[in-house]
Amino acid sequence: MKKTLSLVLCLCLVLSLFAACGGKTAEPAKPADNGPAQAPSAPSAPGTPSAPSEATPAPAVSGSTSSSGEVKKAAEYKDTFVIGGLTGATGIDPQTYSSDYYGAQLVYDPLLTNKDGEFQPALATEWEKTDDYTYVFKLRKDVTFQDGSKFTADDVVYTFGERMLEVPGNTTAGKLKCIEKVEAVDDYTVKFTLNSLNQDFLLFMAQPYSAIFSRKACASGENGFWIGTGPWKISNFVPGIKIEYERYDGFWGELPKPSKMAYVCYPEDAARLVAVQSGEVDCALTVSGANEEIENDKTIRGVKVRDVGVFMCCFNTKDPICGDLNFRKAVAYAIDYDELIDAAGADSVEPVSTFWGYGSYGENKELQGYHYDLEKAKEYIAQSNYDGSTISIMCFIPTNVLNATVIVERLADIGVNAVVDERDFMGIITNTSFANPQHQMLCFNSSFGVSPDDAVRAVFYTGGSSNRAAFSDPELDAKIDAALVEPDSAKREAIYQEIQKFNEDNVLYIPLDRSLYFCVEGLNASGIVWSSRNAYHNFRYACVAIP
Amino acid sequence: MHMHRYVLKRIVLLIPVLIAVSFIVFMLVSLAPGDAVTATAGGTDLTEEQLNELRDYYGLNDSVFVQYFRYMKNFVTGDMGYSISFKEQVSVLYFQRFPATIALAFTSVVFSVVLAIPLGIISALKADSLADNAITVAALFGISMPGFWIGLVLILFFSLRLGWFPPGEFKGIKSLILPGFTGGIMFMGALMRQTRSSMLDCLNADYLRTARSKGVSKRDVVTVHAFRNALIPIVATAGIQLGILLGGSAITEAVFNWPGVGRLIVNAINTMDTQLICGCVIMQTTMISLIMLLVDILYAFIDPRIKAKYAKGGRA
Repeated sequence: MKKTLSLVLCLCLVLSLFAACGGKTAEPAKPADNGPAQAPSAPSAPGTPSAPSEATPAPAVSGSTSSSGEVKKAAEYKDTFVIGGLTGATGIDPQTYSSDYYGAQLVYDPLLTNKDGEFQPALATEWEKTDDYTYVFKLRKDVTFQDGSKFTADDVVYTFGERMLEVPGNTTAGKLKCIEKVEAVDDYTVKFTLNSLNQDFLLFMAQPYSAIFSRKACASGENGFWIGTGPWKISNFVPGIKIEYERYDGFWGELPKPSKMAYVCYPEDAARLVAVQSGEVDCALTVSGANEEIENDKTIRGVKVRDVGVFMCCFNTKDPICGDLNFRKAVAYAIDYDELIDAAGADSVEPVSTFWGYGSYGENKELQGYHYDLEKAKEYIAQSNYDGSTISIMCFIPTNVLNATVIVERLADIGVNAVVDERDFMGIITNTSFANPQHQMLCFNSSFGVSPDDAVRAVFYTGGSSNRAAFSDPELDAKIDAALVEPDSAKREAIYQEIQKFNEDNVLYIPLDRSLYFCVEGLNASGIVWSSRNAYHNFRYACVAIP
Repeated sequence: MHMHRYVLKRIVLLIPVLIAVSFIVFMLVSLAPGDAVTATAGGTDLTEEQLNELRDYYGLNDSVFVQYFRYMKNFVTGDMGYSISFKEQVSVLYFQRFPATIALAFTSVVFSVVLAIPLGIISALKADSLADNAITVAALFGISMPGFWIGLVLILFFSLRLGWFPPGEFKGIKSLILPGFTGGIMFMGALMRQTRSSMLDCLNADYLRTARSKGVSKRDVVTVHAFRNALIPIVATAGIQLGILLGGSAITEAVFNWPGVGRLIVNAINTMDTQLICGCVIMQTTMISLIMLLVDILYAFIDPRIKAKYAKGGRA
């Protein structure tokens, strides 16, 4: 009896090992179609959009929308759509939390939306730039908040006025520093007066963090800011774990198909993938390390997304060695970019020639980028003031560590001693800021800003929030300022292209490669708008058809 | 009566322990580079001035001692602090997740005990046999295999292939099985080896030889005499395991998307959320201390000699 028990135990262990190692027999999945996005239903009446000079969202590699295409009217749909998230939302308020905007896009509406580079009406039906500093928005009259109260111009005044001052750590206030005054002209007309010219103002107004809050609801209680004008109302929030939503049937636009929605955090990639495969969730965000399995599994659909940001290597220009242009050029030519791609996997990254967001407004497509040239690298290192000391390359997260490791090996070929200095997130933030640059080189991934000004100001401007090169040049600062106020779109674009060329010539940030990642959805899922900006995937009209 | 005094004394002793633990943790987190404001709002469009205003708002610009004493002053009034990263009271966050942690901890311990004790007894009774070796291998497997690997194997087999259990989330009894088993198997090895060792000690004791010679059945020798005497170290080990599990098991929680305290602590550490870290650590210390106290009390019921000591006013 006891012997049998022992044998059964051993058998169980062996079986569990087989379960882990066994592969699923699967036929290759069909490539995803490029079906139309189930985008928020915007009213057909066009506004009076001024010519926008916004950054165009970059497309996903194989279809940025859920591939089932149009939802057939006769079909039935699952009552609840579940999103398997990578990180748990720590908060709801889009004016305070800047990590992701999945929830914000479900619950709230901004005045405008930005679809393929064109502004579309949302809560505003028309808008007009009356002079360089003044914008007037006409608002929809048929909108109610999820508590049933009417949406009026006063709520816009509250959102961009008092609320930005009264909520501590309001990051939207940081982005919209250009607003001098917001006034309600009447119940459905609102006027913004700017304190400085800003060509990205309308673009900011079309972002999820410019969502409109209800003055009445916010004043009524602790969670009043949960109330928006969108089609989904928050019914339950467990910070860091999940958010549950119920459909708001008083929504002014087209209603979503399911009556409930949930965002549930599955921190482990494998668990998140299994959750889609088993039908526990209907889609999963960014599943890493399982590209082949996703492509071969016929029960799910992988949507390959090209990240808008790039992996980069930068130099602290205040460092005596890295501040030398010859040293920086030597490094740029010593890096074998193909080797970096091979190391990460050709299906995980792709080559880049500029740090600019893929397909974004202002991209300089004529740049060739750097290429591996050992002889040139040796020439430059001989001219540099490199003194034989050990150069440290700070990094954080596996891809950057991998990049740094490969770079260290190539630098050895030109006689540069370098080491990988892996830090945690806080170590990177505190040691590579403009004010306190303790690093020499840094491998990091940049998230390209929503607006071109956001992007260049952060990395090049004196004191910029992501100026990891500790670079300061009054002339470049002036150029960045000039681009922000330049009304001629072509001239503005030319300035941004010039800045990219400046970076290439001065080797401040070396673009290494761009990440390609998979998001996964069930075969019957549709209506998801996958974005190259990880934080901007839109699930407002996501649904699962019942076959 | 003496038992009551002993319990009271242990509870009073908990106070300096909590103060020491909270002080050390608070200082270590505060003295590390960076803070919760940098972690949550650094790199956004807030200027350094705005970030500093935010630090002022949360009191992070005060000296670390001022911050600590303010924190403890609030703590004794029942305020566990405020989480900067979650913008929520620590008590709300903690107790929101605590039920899931309790459920997972007890299920894990039940799996651990149910598997480990019988296997440990068999192993002791059949020492150096094939069964003993097989069980030892199983114990080593449980101790050596990383929890995330076991968890993923279980998900692949029982959730994806067989569809018996959900792969994650806390949604009733069924959802407890896989994470509970994963947590249990990680501790099972140690408990089984402890059971085997204790049982071997007892089985070789003189009083059992006497019992056998007096004709007591083999079953009674094992279950009534040997096992009861072997229980004290087993209960202590299981108690420690329960205490650790009540503090949250970050890995099991991450794999199974379990809404427990472990992930909350990991999140707090990543964001340098001092008050959240401190609140969770204080609660964890309290849990372990109380569990150990309960284990001590349980000794008295298991071992009449200890009960007699309590009755005489001696120390257990």
